[in-house]
Amino acid sequence: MRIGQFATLLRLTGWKFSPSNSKSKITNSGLFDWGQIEMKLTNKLCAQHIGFQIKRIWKTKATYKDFPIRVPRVLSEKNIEVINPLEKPPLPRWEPPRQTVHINQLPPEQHPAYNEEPAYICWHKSRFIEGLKQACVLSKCQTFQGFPPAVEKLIGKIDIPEQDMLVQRYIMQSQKWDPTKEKLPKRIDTSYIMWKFQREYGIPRSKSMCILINNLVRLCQMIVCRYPSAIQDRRQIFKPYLGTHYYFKDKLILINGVNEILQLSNKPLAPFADEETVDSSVTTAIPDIYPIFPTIDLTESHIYRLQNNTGFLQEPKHRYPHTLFMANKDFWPESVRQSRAIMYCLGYAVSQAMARFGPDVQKLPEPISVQCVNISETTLNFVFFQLNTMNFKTDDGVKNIAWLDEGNKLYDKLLSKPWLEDRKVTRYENYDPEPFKKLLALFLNGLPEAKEL
Amino acid sequence: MLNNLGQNGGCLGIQTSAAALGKMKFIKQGIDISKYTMKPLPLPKSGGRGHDGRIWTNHVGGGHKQRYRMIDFRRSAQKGAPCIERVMRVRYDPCRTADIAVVAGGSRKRYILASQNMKEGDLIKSSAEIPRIAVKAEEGDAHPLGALPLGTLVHNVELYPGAGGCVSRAAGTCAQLVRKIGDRCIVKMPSKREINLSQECMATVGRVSNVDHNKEQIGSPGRARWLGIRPRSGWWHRKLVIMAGKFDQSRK
Repeated sequence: MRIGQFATLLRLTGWKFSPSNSKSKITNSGLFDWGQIEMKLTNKLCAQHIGFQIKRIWKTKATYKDFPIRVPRVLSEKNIEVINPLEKPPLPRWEPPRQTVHINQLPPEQHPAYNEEPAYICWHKSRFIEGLKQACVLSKCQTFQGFPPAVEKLIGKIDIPEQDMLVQRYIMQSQKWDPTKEKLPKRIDTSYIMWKFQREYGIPRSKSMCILINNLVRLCQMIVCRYPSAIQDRRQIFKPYLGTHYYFKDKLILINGVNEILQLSNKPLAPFADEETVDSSVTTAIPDIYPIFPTIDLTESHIYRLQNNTGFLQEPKHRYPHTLFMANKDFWPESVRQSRAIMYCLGYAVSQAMARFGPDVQKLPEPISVQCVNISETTLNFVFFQLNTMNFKTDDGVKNIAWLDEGNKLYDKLLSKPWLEDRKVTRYENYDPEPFKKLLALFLNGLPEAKEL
Repeated sequence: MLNNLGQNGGCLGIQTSAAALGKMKFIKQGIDISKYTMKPLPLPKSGGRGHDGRIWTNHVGGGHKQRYRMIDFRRSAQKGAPCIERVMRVRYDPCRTADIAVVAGGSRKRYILASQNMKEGDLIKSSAEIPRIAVKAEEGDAHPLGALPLGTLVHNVELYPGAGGCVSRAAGTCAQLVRKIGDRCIVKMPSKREINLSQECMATVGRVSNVDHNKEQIGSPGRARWLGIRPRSGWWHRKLVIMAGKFDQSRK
């Protein structure tokens, strides 16, 4: 190699290698004229490993440098400009393309949906600090505990064959048998804080609730075998959207959100309370939450669109909301969850009233009623809402009425405590058949055949 | 330390010598103090380091993860319109020794420092008026210093009007209104020093909650580490008793 490599190195650096006879000579004739240097190409010189030096030199010398043109002195003295004919005219200055501004980055006044009047938005994350009292003030309603008498009659009237076994299977499906394997949040047991739980993979809370609610609704539809109108008159919608508004004491309140399932029917649900109960509601007082404004937890915004939207482009045949199914994916107390359910019931009732009797209706020709099933991890809570008036400007006059039934535990979930021998795994115990019977009564309500029961 | 960070919560993106040395992990990021929120915010551990990345306080480090709750120390109100609020909850706060209270009134919810006997359902008032006769002060109410009778025990005292309380905020502490000279008030701080303040400085009546905090014993060096207290070096002992030996409490 040696001589060949050495020769290339020399050529790169501008030296000339002339092997002549036994005495080889190296002479410089590069750009920089250092005069003639003679050097002996000995064995020692060739023994060096010069591969890395070649690489180093290639880095600097590999590119050809374009030196400026030498202008003759005669021309420069006369101030004559010398133009290179090969040179192209300079390109125009490049400017980066203008970025499109997202609508949320604009100041709120420039937003197309900006309104001068602020609105108070109630959505699924607005947690009422005063709980049920606050929901009662906002919906101007009087509350009763338990079922309304018209629906209470229907509890336990019919049963589906092997319903208890099926419900228990659905519970186990939602808790254990579903093949979902997601990373669950870390567990901490307050009774034994030192214990470090192993990471668990399984069905997250939100999903297990959805599985249970879908299965229970499907099981309830089995009454079709006996009452065919249950399938002709009803229609289920999954993940229904609601966007509606009403005025509460000169404040605009929007109720927006998406829930789990909405059951619609082709004729409106009969009112739960008779006229006497409605008339007697004039005397009852609405709870006082001084010094708190009831709109304290609603998000105030200037950006909104006034709408009365239940998620349909055209009016469907089944357009009367019958039952709303909600899943509580948060860790709130039951009373706060019930207050949220009241607000959504109010939203569906108000949207129906505006669609039926006009947008500016104050006094309703007939009351509007909506049912709600509010499912938690182990319990079913029920809300029955009857809209008697749309006049939210004053506290006096006829009130709306709500029936609340909570604490219907389907089963007990005993979480695992691995440090105890008999609690190594999570157990599901004490199945209670009563809550499902109540759920069936809600389905029966409004069917023409149910009147004979 | 949060007060030293400015509006956007610190030196995010600014290359300093501290950042070059890898000390940025100690500097708190992402807390915007200008926007009030009730949501507990994630708070990285400071490790005793300041905004420059150097150690400001020794023997700090580790401990249980904490979340920062924004506490409103401004109890000021407009003149002629006293602000009345209801105490919704009294809660524990990991970032301070005192308890905190969730109060709601009008269309505002906030955390404030809980006073000694504050409980759920109490109505508390904060007014800015200074009448000729001193007001009848009730615990938990906030008044300007000029409106309070002499000798009142107060906490969360402002140094300048509208600046937010900074004197006497630790558990069980209280300051005392000693004298009034013209439109200035003299307050005896918990350190027994006296300070001359404007009569418009707001103060909350009563002692701060969690009065028995000073009697609590940590109990073990391990528990001190849970609280984020690192041990002293262990070299030096006070030598007092016999033959210049070290001071042994068990023999006393």
